[in-house]
Amino acid sequence: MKNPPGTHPTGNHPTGNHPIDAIAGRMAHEETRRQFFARGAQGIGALALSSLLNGQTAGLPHFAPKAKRCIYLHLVGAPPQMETFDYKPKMKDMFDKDLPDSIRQGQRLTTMTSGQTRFPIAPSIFNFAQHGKSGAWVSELLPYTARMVDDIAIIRSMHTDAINHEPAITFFQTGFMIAGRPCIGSWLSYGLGSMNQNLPSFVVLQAKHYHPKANVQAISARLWSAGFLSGKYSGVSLRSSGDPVLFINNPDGVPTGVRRSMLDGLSEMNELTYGKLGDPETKTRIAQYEMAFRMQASVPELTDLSKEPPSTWEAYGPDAKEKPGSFANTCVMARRLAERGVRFVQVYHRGWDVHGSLPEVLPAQCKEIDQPVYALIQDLKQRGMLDDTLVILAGEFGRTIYSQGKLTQTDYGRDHHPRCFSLWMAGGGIKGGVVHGETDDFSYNITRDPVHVRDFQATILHQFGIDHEKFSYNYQGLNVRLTGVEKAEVVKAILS
Amino acid sequence: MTRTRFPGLFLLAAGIASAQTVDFQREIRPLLSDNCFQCHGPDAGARMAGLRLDLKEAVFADRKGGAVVAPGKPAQSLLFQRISATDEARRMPPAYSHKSLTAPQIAKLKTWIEAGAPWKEHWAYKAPVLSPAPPVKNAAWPRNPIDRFILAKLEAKGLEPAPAADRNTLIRRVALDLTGLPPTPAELEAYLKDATPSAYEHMVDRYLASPHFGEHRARYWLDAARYADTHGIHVDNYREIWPYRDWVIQAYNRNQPYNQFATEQLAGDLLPNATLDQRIATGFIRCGTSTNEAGIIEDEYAEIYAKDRAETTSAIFLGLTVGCATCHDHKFDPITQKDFYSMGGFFRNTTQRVMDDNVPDTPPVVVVPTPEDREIWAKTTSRLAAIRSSMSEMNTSSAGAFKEWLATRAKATVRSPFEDKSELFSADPAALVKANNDKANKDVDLSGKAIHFQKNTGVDIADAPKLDAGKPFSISVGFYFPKAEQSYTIAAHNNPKDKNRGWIIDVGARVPGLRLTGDGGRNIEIRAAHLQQLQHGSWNHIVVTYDGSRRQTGLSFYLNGRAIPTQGRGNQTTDLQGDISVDAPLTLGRSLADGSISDFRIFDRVVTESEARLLSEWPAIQTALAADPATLDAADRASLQTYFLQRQYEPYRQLAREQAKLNIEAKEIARRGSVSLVMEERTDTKPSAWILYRGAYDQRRDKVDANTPAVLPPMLSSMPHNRLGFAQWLFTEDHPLTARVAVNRMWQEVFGTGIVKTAEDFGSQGEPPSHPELLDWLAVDFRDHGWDMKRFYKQLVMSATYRQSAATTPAKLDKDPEDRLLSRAPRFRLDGELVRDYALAVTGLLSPQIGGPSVKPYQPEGVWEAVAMVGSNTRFYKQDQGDGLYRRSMYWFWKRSAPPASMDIFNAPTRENCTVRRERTDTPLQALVTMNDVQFVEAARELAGRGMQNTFDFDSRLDYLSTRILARSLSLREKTIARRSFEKFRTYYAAHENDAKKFLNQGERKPDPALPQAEYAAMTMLTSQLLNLDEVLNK
Repeated sequence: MKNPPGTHPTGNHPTGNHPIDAIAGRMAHEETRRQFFARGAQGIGALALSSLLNGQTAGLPHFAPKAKRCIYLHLVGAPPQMETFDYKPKMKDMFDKDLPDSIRQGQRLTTMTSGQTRFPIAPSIFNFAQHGKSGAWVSELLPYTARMVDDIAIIRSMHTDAINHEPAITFFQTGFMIAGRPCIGSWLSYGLGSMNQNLPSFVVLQAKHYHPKANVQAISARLWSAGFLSGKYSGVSLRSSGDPVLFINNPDGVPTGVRRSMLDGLSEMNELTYGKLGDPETKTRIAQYEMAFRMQASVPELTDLSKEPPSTWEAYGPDAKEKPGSFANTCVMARRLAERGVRFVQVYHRGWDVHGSLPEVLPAQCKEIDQPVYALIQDLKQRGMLDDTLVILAGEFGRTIYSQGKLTQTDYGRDHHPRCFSLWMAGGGIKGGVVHGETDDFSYNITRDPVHVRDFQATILHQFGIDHEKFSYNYQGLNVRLTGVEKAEVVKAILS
Repeated sequence: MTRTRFPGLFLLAAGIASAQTVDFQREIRPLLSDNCFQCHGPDAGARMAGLRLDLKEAVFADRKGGAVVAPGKPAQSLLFQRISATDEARRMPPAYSHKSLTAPQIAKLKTWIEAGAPWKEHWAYKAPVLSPAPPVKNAAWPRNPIDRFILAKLEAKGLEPAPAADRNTLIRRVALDLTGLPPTPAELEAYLKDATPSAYEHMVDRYLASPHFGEHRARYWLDAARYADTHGIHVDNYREIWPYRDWVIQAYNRNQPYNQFATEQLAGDLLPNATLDQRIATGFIRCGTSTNEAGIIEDEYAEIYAKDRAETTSAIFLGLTVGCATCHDHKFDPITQKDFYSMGGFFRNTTQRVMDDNVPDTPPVVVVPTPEDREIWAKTTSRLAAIRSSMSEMNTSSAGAFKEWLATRAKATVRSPFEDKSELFSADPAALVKANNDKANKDVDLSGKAIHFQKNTGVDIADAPKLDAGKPFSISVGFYFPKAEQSYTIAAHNNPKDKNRGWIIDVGARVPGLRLTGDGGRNIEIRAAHLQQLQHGSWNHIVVTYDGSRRQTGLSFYLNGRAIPTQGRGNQTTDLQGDISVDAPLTLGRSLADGSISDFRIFDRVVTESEARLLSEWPAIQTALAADPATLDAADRASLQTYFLQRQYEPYRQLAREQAKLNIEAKEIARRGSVSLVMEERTDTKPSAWILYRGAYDQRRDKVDANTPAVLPPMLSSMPHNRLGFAQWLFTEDHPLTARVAVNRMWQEVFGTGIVKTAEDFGSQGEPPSHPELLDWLAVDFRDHGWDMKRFYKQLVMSATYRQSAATTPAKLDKDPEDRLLSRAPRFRLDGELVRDYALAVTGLLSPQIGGPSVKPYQPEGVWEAVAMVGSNTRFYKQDQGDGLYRRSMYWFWKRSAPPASMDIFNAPTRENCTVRRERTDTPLQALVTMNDVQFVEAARELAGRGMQNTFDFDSRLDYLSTRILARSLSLREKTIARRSFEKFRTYYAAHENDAKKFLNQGERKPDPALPQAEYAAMTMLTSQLLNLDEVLNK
């Protein structure tokens, strides 16, 4: 839309070609403590200032970071490890045999299977093969992933404390099973601040899934909440339909020029208020409105995929272009966000809760993500961004080797299993071609190198140059850390 | 806190600081608490070297190597030696703690020891004492005692109060603080014209009397009470508890004293002769989140619920963060793990079950009739109770008549329990078993007169009647409930291939129920409330009736001949569509291995309560009727008496008819009304809890009775150790916290920040009060004046402190940047609800309705869907039409996993946890809401249109707008800017008529077609500009 005559930006406002041009006030939504201090206490509100003086962000990063940004792909519902990365050949001979008590060791069960009289073993019906230089075993469900095993570090010995989705996801992302703590993205935004001036530093994307029988679990705003940290560190949802960022678009019939004129008038009147009352918060508000204006320009540019070359669509697969909001499409968007200096991109893909009809649902779920994640890694690599972009693909726990419900040669389901599961990490200082940790023949107990969720969280922080023990926020008198009070260890074996 | 170290500098700094005085409460205790208590504090489990620094005796005790603190002698004090040690291995706090003291902090501790180390117990655990208002120099300024406390401090700091604000500013401020709404032009005019000396007070009184007062106060309270319209966890379905929200509003409006207000919410159900309102009030405790996630372990969630309740209650009434003591003794405050669990014990002795069943009416609930129905409801329910007791008395009083009848009757075979022809179908067990056995189904046999199912095969009934969703019917079935813990299907006539169209009677989690399913899988359901769980290995009888209304409220349920509490009251929007009849055969015992069915009947009408009793006993009655009168035993006689009363005894039959009629009336009243979640005490157990090792639900240690924290005054022996006793204890005369915490929160609402800034934490990690004497004065004054809340708020807004201008100066910003001393009126951004209500109010769109079911105003599409479970009934946000779009924001349907988008952006809490202090940040996303949200755009257009309809030149239009939006006229400079903006907009829209049209067509209301479009659009944009002013968004 062309600017109407007489409504061109005037005065203090950006007149450059690109509305992203820096102007005095920075995006307070993202501002780091250092930026605040650089501007001096006069320039910001006292309340904003005091809210910053509550935690240990001094001296961050604690050491040279390997990762500048992170794309975290969460598979909500928990994919079964023995169908993806944790190959268990001996199970073939144990079809429908009972899980030995010596293996179960009194592990608590969800009340979905605690009433089952038997726990019949369901071997994976999918084939596995070794790939790459590392010789990592990967299921036939993930042929693209198989091609890049030397780019990623697979951890097969993850374990967690929770056995149900709601607490488990909350635990994974906030370090606590009950809602109310900040999530990883918020911690990083709080600790490290923003790398851009026109987009949020923490963006959340929700990818669609398509199989009608996929069992869906809830997610919730609490997962990208800043908890007790300031609300400005919350994740901002980037949506695939409607306004990409809520309320980002001007009402119909309001072109940029009219908005600019309105903001000019608004700002002038607000300056009068400032002159009258001298409240620094008024200055903050003026800066916020300018930031909003810049976001209005940069978000459409971000979400306009029309200039992506055909090679993008080839690489990420047909869903990427044809289905807005698909996992493939979301991966393209995640890369664009990373390119534009968004520090933390959180993607959720649902439908992985395979309690039943696993042989039917799981291949479809895997197909939705396999080519796109491969493309994402290659894409980042080609752009020279993989080195400082941490990519994570994980669910919230694992699944049982025994079948939930009826077991046949062609049909079975799996219940939740917290004692072991697999995930992978790549880029951002993670060593490729690593397979870390081992489980027993039943993929039931970890036999080597256990990695707790806390260790995983400590490792993420470590890649950002943060010592998880020194990074805390004083809340209700406690120095609260993402990793909590229990001991957590960085998983050194997967670091390059 | 930044904790930079300056190892070499401390001595120098210490020298400088020693000339100053140090306040133990404000400066020393927080330092010790922050840096030392973690290992040398109340937590016995974490204590190092057996040293406590939170107790006076320990701090001044002699240890090996000297005294921890030797008053006046820093060099001889171990404490000082260790914090100032240059040897890192000796220095405290140790490096591994990631804590460290700065040089000025070390200096401060030194100064304190030099000054004799004066020690005081933590202020908040001692009862407040009324100190006289201090003397001030500027005696003319104070208007009430509050001002003397404030002014004394200002004078001590060399600050002057700001001049009084002008009337326009004041009325806007008072209106916002007391009602959450801006003043109307009429209110403004009345106040500006009032030349009497009491004009201000009269204005205040008018707002205190406004019904919007209660709404505004309730909004704060509901944040603390974590009120919302969904369960919160997992499926996050609708829950019905809005009558509690309305109770809060009304309590404020009728100025219920705070002690009663608190007591009814904590224990209204335990008060003698508890009224319906008092029971609704206990929704406060039920507001916590709940789950129904398959697979959860109930014990674990029982602990989570109890923790939430203990934390919420504690934050609101005690200002303590007891949650820290879940896993270990509190690190900083003398709250032990035992204290925490003992307090949780008050809230665990409930009849509420962990699983909320995803229904809106998870028991215990109360039926809340509409206000018009309340009287008739009371009459109807008490008459029904009287009828039930008369009917049961007739078992005795009819003895003579029964004997007479018994003597004259002969044995008889009676097929149907009822005299009319309402029975559509009855199953003949023997015939069914035979038919099935003949068809090679050997897994059923006859056990006595019942069909016994060896496996989950069931028996088919091909000739069963098809039921019509538009007509009434009743189903009656007697069955043996097997011993194993699993789900059972008793009887079903449905088609799994058509999304279960049809009906099914099943038992899940030992709770029986009926579900009717029509088109698209949409269904209505009634289930026994959880307390009615069946006993494994027992005979039971169910009657379910349906009135053909296609609504959940058309279902009734009787278990073993009795009307029992039920659940499953649907979302008001749920009803049945299409047919429930299917071609498949009806099956009995489809999934009832080891169970039996003795009697199964279908009727073409709604069976009454007394008939349900007859049905439940029918097989026995039939046997007794057919038996030889000479051989009757006592059980036969009892059965025959039931038959006699129901079929022969006119007084009984008369009552039964009245009962049936009243039941229908009661049902109608309930249908018109609502339900609300409440608390209900278990009577078979005492309030208690287990101490959990490290807070783990499966690590139970000692069992403890419900009790209050030991650091506070004990409960009196006259107080029961239940919720009521807890409430009584809160309001004992010498309670150190209740009144302080309450007045601090009310102060915070008005002044933006509490006297204790950490309103939720009065403990040693909380911030010490800025004006301790004032806090105590307010607390005692509040308590001594009958906990009168309106009086309290009035006192605040009548003060000179409140009436100051908000204008600040560089000197004030320098000396008092956060305005904690109140050298000017506080100025802060309005909460999200106020921002929206403001825009609606000034345009005249705001609906005045108070209370009622929550509403769904404008919200961008997909906000709910993005997070919701497929099966959730809050997956799709169905926007309201009409009035629902313009109700106050406090009525916005609150889905916890996706709170109202624009409120969320303005820092509204998710309402998953107790929030007594909202955050206020400024972000660009907020600017996007007020500029672009259709709610605000439509409001701007409406106001612009009204301005244009009512006035005829630009200046008067501008005046029309500013009077409403700012409660004042614009200055000349402002007018110039506004006109310039307007001209730009008009130029554009004159040249772009289509854009003008599009811009004007926002929202559900239609723009005025008679107005000149370009000017209308330009005026709308100008109105939007004014609505976005910093002055509007701030108090």
